[in-house]
Amino acid sequence: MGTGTFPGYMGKILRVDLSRGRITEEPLEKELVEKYLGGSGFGAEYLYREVPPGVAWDNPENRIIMASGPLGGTIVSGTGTFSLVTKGPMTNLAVSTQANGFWGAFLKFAGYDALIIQGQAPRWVYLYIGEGKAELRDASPILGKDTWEVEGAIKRELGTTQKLSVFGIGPAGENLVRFAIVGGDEGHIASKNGCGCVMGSKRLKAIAIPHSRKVVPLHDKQLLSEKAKALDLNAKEARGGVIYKWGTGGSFSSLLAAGSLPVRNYTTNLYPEHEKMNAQYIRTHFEYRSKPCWACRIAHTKHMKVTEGPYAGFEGEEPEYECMAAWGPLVGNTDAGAMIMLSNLTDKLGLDVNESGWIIAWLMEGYEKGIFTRQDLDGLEMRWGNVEAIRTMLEKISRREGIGDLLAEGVKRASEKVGGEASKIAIYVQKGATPRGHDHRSIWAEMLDTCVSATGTIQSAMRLITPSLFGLPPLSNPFSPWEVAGLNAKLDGWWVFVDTLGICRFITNDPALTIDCVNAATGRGFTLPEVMTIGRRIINQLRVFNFRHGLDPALEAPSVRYGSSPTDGPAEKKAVMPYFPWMKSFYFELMGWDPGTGKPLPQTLKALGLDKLIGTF
Amino acid sequence: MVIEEPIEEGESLRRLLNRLAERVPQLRETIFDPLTQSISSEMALVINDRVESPFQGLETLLKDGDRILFFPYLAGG
Repeated sequence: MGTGTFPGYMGKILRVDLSRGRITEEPLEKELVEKYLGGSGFGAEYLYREVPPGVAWDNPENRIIMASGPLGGTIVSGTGTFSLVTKGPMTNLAVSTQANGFWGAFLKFAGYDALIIQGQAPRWVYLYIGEGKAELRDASPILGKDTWEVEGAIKRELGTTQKLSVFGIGPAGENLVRFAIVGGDEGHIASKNGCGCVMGSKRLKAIAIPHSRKVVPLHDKQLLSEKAKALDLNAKEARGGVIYKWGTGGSFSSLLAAGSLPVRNYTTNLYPEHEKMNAQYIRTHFEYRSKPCWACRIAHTKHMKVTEGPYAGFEGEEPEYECMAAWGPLVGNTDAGAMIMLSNLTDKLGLDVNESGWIIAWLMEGYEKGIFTRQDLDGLEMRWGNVEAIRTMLEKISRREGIGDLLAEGVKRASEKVGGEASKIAIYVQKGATPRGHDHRSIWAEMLDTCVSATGTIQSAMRLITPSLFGLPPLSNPFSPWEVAGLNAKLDGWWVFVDTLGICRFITNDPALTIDCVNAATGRGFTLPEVMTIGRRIINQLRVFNFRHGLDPALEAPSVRYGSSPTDGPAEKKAVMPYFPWMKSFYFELMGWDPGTGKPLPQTLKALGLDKLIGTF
Repeated sequence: MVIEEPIEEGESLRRLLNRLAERVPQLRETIFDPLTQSISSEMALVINDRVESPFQGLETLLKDGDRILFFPYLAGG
């Protein structure tokens, strides 16, 4: 297979075999660049090639692929992003999850486009990737440290003051909590499908990369600079400038107005305290400073100091929307400072904030209804809004202590084990993981996407792109099964293409400008239909991988509570389940899959250049 | 984009948007579709600093001085 150097790429893959303690370099294959572009695409291809059916998530032969893309490490805003692709323990299926910060850029400056991790270290190690030098180092001095402490600890051990990007696992990953994350750069998280648990199963604590000096080769540096400036302007103004002005929490209150904020485990959609919990409140009442990712001029991420309430004086990262949803309305908390404290705690312990929020909310509703007693919950009074009880419970989960050992299995498994009434109030997708922090009963597009996603993350439905930018009419009725399934299918491919690039999704509001940046960096001359094809290719490849690893399409459905009807609020009595099976089937049909099983049809795979997958599942 | 528009007292938001859609292409393309008579579900509706449900807000009766804001939804992060 051809190899070579390509504009936008460093031309090398780093492979680490933890079992043998061996680190090797491989040339970047031309086919990978041409068909899969980078990031999620590289991950999907290596996962398919190297993780055959029968390899469980904790088998040393599972792979973790961490990849940047052709925009990674350039002057385009937010191009420190990387994709992490593996087979994860929540669903026992693939995941392609992204994190921002600096790591993806620093990987390229060290000379690599992707990192492949295999095997299992005999003792805990961390990986250091310097320029021209990659080595496995003893991690025993940093075991037990949280995801923020690890960076400082490694710097002290190396005796360096150089900027390092360090991504690793916290206590949750070390203790194989099923929904453990990989976190780094003080608050950036690769969160889905227990990718941190996979890293923990390999006894890999962290990956540290200093800011080395290699330069990303580009096709047209001047043009890229112009297009990057235009993309910045668009990102600052897009959708009313909400992210630029308020961060991802900017729509917190408007989501409530649409019945889309998750409140108290879906027992209500009323949350009158929202005006003291939203981004507009915390940004005008608390102190903050910008904490931008690599090259980012949007700089929506902030370091924040709480200035009022019982947690006054606490400092940490301003929570992103998902954290605000989890530690505010979902658990009945009405103190913004507590929300910020819990958000940072979750990240530092190395827990997925979505799964954590839903499991706490499940306990709280169960406690309210007498399903759980204090004795059941290790003496903790899990009433709505009891922040200190939440804090203690999260610590227990991260260490698998007491009841934390059961809860560390995630909502679905814990609720099934408890059974009875407890199982009826749990919110999850039947194939294994919880949704994100919304009430999807009023966002049917996201419920459908969450249930059928091959990436384990937001695959198609995400409210950062307007259909008109794709030449499509607007979605006018969020409760039309026809529109929901149709729009999801028509938009499928865009976000997964973006995930190949090594760029933050929040920058890529304009498809045409985004593609201009890619073409300036690579010289490829892509059109919108061509990049959508790349995205769909990756979606189909991951879906085939999932079928080979046991995906049951019947489980691509909500749990009873997840698919219930709201009892109050703007979407009161809206019922998705009478239409859900049809929506799913129609979506499958529009994607070129069997409408009953969701299996990609041979002609679909052929059209995507995936002939090699035909007949393999 | 900010638009100041005279209204008839008691005019509904629906009627106002229909009028504006005739001459403001951006509004037609991203906020209110006259063909389906609906506000895009990509947008939240805020009337006088209070978020309103997009499903009911079109029938709101307006008065002089009312401020109407269309605010894009976001998720993730």
